[in-house]
Amino acid sequence: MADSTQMLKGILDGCILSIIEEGEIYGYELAEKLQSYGFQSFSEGSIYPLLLRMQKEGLVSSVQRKSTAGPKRKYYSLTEAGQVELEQFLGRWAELKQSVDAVITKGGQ
Amino acid sequence: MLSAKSEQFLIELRMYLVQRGRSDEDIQGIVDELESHLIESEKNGKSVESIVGKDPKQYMKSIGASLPVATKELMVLIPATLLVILAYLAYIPALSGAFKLSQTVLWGIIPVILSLAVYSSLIFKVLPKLHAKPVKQGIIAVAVSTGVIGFWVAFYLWMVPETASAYFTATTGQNYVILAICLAIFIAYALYTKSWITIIVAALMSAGPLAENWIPQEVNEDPAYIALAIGGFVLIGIAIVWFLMSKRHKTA
Repeated sequence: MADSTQMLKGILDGCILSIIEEGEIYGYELAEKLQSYGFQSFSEGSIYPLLLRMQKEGLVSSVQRKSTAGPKRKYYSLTEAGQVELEQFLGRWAELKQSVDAVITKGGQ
Repeated sequence: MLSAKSEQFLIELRMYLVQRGRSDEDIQGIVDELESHLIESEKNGKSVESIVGKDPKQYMKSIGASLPVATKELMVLIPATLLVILAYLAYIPALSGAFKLSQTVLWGIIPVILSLAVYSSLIFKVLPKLHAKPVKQGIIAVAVSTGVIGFWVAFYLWMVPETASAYFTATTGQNYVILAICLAIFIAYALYTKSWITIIVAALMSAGPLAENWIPQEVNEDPAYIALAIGGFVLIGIAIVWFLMSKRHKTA
């Protein structure tokens, strides 16, 4: 479990950007989506420091909207810089995946 | 409605971020966002640990590291706060028409700084941890205040022989000028922090010296009136405690 958490650290940013690309989303919804994709080993709150950093870097923007369930919700959407970062992440991930797959396949032979 | 544990976590987080000089706006933003998340999570049966992890302190650090230090705000706030502390020190002597700079006043800055350090660690570190235990909070606050007041009394008793050595004694006119400067500082600070607290504290501090000036000597020293005043304040105290407890009971 601890190992997958360490592995997740480097790729969670890209996964978050990819989910936000689908459309405006708020924190809780984002955490739920990550879990529904199989990310079970992270604490939900760990997305907020990442979202704060991404906002500071101009990768995502946010807007507050009223909610019937309690305090206002902060909805995130992807900026142009975020879109570029996501594309770069997808490229890096494809390369990495290919390399890791190659190593594993060779090892298996 | 949040559980007591989540509420306590949010209070501790707020205090942690305030102490580390993050801006009010950023703190409010992240606290609101986490509150909203915790409400929804608890509705779905999740615990605060599943949100912030097993080590809340580590989580607070990661949030703190993601928020910028409000340098500009602090560059104004720190000198402004020091100015307000000096204004409080000068205010009552000037109001009583007896402002002077002596060794007692100058050395008095040491207990002021120590008291501020004790109270800030009480407010930022100790009390948030006891959010769900108001009785314990009250006992600790009273114990700390008794210790601080005791220290002040001991300090002044020790310094009293030095009071004769006044470097500067203000005239009546100078007392009025000092008073006006102090009031201007309190008003400016209240406007800057958008809080009445500086003015309310100054008003409460003024009550004693003003009452001494206005109330006739024979009334001021009449034991019946003294007992009446003490009784009145005790009743007001009981009413405030009762009001706060009933308010807490309603929101629980």
